Amino acid sequence: MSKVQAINISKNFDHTIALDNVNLTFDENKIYGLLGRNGAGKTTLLNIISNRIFPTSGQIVINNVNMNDIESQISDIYVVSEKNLFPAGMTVKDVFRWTKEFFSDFDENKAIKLSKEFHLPRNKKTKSLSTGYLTILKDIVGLCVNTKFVFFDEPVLGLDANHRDMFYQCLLKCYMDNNSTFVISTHLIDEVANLVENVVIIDDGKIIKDTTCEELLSLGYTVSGTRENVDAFTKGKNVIGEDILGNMKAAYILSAEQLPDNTNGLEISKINLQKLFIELTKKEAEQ
Amino acid sequence: MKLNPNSQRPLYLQIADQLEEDIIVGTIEEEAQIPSTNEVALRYKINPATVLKGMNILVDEKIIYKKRGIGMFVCEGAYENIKVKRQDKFYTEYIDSMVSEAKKLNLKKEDLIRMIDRRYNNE
Amino acid sequence: MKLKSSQKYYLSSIKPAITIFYIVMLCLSIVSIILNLSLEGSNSSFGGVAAASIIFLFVAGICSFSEEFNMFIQNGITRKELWKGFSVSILIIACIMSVIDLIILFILSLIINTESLVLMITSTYVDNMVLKVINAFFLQIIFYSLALTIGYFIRLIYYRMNKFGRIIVSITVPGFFLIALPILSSFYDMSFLLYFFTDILAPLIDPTKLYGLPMFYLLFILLTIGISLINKQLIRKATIK
Repeated sequence: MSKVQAINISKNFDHTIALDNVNLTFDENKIYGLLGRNGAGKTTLLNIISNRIFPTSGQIVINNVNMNDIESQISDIYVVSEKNLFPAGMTVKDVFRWTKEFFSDFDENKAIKLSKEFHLPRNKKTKSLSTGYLTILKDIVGLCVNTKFVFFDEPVLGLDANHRDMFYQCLLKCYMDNNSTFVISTHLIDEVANLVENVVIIDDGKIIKDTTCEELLSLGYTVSGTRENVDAFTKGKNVIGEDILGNMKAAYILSAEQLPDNTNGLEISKINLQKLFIELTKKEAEQ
Repeated sequence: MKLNPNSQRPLYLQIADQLEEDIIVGTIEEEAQIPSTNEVALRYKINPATVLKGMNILVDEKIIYKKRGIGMFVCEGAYENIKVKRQDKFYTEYIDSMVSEAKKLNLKKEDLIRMIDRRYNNE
Repeated sequence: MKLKSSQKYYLSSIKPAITIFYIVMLCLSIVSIILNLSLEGSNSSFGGVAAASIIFLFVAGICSFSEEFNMFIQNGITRKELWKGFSVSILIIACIMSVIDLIILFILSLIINTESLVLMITSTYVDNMVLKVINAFFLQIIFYSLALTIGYFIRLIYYRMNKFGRIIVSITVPGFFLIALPILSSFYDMSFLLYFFTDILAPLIDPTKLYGLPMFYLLFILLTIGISLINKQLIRKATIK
């Protein structure tokens, strides 16, 4: 069983604790959502996993081998990050060519096909690509590299709605075609809620949730209706948040119990992942 | 097949529901092949594991079966299977709430029966 | 020879620069030939091919690292492999350029007067023409490797330092050599600074002694290897900024 593990990873920058004793395991052949607010530590974690920066303590272990002990090439993982590391003067064509040189399983034909679908001009140098197209280039490489684990840090930032949709489609297809594990770190939670099988939530450098999407969503539900009905219903329950509009109220409840059938005119709906995330990561000042 | 992302019902159960619906309505016949997990996943942009979970429920209930290397097919007798299952659930899912709602609105049993007659006659 | 991907990449990234360098060399050579042949009784000479290469490689070394480092990290190459790849590439580049430079020198010497620093150095050690050329070949390889390594070293130092450190180094190092030292030497006799070179090193590489030439080689080889090992340590802790 292939796996990528973060073991007791901590990272301090000057006087800030960016990551605090993070322990995670990414198993093979799954789609993970890595969710966290701005500054939660997602990018720091991915930078450590991709060997760009060093943890203050802890280690990354890939298939039971410490990353520091790997000799010439870390070939089981690939990380697509916000920062572009391809040379400014390199053309898209050459980016594909060199990726193929470093990763023999890179599907250059698929990359060319995807470039056409996304209208990414292959003769352009990376420095003349717009931010959106630079992201598309990096995403295409990530989708075609065929390593066992591929990590995406904000893969759809700057992409228009059509391209975002295309990206998710391609991701699903690639996932089904070659059984890699994809880890998507994103703010656009609603968009990935149905795609991911597992969810990891980072908040203030700590992992607060590491479970399946289904388990996470079963943690709660939304109850909406008139204020008094909702209040009566929610007495004694673990309400993690509320939205009030006039006399109508929606309460978000964390509860694992089965819902009663007789709900007295109230509407019960699934708590959606984004709402749950917001509630779980709300800070004092934002209550 | 339609999926409602906002419903309280988990997606994998919705998939099972929808497939059952297609079978009982006759859109998919017995022994016919149903779309593969991957096809459904791609079509609705959901994780294949979720789709598989829904389909496995139907496999357990002997409504569909897997032919190795080919795909998933509707079991013979699936229609009957589903019919019996749904008839059992009919009372709790429809009758129960119908009667409670009727009582709230002060509708008498005779009123209800009249309405039922009307609906059947409108077929 | 089967090159590793990291070496292939290094070589391919320096290829454009080397190509331009030799095109310029070619143009200069042609101009030199034309001038020499057209001006009657001219006593000019064309020299410094090796010196030009050394300066070029020094600058090339300074320009390396950032882009290559980024590219290697993106493609999962470890820092150890990065250093190894660079070391092998340095040798390859040094060998190739040494050969090309000697060929240029040879061709030019058939037409016009040529001077070569490296040949002059070897002349102090050996008389035989063949030996001179062979030694020049190897010495060039060492000098070129050293130039690239030192350039790389400077780039690495700057990369690893923060902004503050960079400013300090950029001011104090040239400042010492260009300002402080001349001023000091007008007041004091600063020749003691050269004692290391005149009293210790010079005797070691004495051309009149049998061990002179080997020591000369050893000196520069050790210097190259030493700085290269420092580079290895500097790379070990380098992070993407």
